[in-house]
Amino acid sequence: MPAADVEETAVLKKCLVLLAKMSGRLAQIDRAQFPTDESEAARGLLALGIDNLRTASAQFKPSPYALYRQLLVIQQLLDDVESSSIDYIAWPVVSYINEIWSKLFAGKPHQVFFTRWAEYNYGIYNFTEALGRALEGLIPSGSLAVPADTAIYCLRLASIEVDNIPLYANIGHELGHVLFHLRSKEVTAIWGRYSESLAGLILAKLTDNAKQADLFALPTRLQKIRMILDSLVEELTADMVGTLLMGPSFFLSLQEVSWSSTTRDVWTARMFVKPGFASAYPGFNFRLGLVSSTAGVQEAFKDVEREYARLDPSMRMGFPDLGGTSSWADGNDRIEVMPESDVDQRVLQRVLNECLPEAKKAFEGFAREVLELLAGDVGLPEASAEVVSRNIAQLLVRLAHGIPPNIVPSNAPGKELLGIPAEFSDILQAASLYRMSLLAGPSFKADESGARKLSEIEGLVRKGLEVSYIQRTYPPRDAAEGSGDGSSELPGD
Amino acid sequence: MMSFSTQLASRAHAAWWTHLEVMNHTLGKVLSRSGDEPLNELELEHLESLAALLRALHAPAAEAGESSRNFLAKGNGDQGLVPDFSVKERFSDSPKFRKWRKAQGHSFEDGVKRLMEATTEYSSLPKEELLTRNAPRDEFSVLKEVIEGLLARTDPLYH
Repeated sequence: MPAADVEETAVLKKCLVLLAKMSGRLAQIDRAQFPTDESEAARGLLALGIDNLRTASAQFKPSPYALYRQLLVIQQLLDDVESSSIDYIAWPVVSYINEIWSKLFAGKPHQVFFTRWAEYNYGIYNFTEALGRALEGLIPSGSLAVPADTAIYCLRLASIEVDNIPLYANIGHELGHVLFHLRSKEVTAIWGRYSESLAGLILAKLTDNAKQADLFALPTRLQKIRMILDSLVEELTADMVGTLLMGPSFFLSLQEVSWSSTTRDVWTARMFVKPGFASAYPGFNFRLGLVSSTAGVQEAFKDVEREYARLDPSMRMGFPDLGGTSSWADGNDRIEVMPESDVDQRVLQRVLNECLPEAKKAFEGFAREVLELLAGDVGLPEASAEVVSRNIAQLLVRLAHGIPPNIVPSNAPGKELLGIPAEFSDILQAASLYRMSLLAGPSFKADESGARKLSEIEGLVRKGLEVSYIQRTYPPRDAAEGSGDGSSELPGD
Repeated sequence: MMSFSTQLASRAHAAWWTHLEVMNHTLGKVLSRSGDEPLNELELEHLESLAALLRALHAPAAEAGESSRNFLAKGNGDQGLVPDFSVKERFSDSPKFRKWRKAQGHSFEDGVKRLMEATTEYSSLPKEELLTRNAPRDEFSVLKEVIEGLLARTDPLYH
């Protein structure tokens, strides 16, 4: 047998062994540890895919090298299912996010499961689609028996700061990606209106004094620029959804994520061949500025500060200038296009940088209109801004006294001492503000005692989320009786 | 804060490499068989993918033709294939393509078109005629070299 054939046979056997191992790993997963039932749906789908691949590999003998490469991809999907465990994921957060998900995607066949991610980041992807792509070319198309409208998403939570609950407000942005895909037609129509003059400018930059070779490359270059700008549109839409869902707490969590970036004025774009798309991000300066401006962050923080001073004059709390991002609109931003090996990279980078000021104006107008469009999907907050500020100040007082921030006072007669469960986003915002004021304050010691203090806050916040969730889901007996629905039994009685 | 698409990014690039590799493997299998062996279902799909790839390379997106309108307003549907390479350079790099084209008297454009047609015609044959002996061997041999050239500059893990 020729050496190449010997190697192919060996690689194929290794692949089959890997497939057998993966089946074993899937079977060994402790399903009782899944944070939600949707993890089981993902596990079942992956088991089906691996089973199909084992059968097809034996029957059709596709390229062992392609099979091997794709098994590494499938292994990542398996890792995500394995890491979907309550050992790593704070359940009250999952419960709250599930609640938001159900509200946003009611009546849609969209499910989500939660997993831990090794990166200092959050992310969401369509697990069903990822599995389909991983199997593409290795099993006959259509042989994976998945209902056409099934869409299981995987929401990855940053593992490094798994206890840093205020950062969870970033999840609002991740949900925004799913909403973007559901509402892409309407969102694209808005972008079409704001991008008209930008499109003309880009076209002029690409065609003025163009040589024959440039004109030949024009269709592909336009396509690539569209891919990049589409990706930026998606990111900004997701930011607007994050703002709608989480309010100023989204700003605070986004800001904390930006601490890991040293180049906040750099926009990035990476292109991919098949399927043709790009992943692009606006610079953090622009994102933070836009979110701050649309969410009214500075005003909200001032209101909270005032309320807090009124509630507890003995305990002054100084918030750093968190909403101050004055240079975001006219800042000295630039865009980097990757990969450098792409034949059009230099041209695209030059043109996009030349058009960036115009693009920023278009993006700002677009984002504000998208915010209005999607406000209907997300739903308006039940409480006024004034009430929210007051509630957050109340939660800050609790944190300052070492009490979990789970409840705010009620004005309802007879309920003054009982209060009402705090809102998820209010708890996150209070926790972020409190932590930020501690970190930025002069008396905070950045040593073991500081670490203990932060842990204490994280513990209080986690407990606050747990208790408020339980209180909202299982109200006290008298509240249930008084609800007018005739029910006298609590769930679980 | 990674985009939905980004999550699939490394996978998508791997998919491009895989896409090329499975087609290359099938071409190799067809060329190595001399008898009347039929193609299996998966091999036929790979040849259909190859024909689609050649069509995409031969006739890239019609964005320029729409340049009078806002080319940014089309939405982010699946854009299929957006090559990161110069099609002309990649084909011209293949000695077999140059030699075959010269022997056939094809221009560059006609040569790529002929390869596309040969692949499409073969993969469209009725099942009973889809045998290895009916394969356009010269064209497949040229295509195999071109795809191997593309594979050589496509890292399976990263770009």
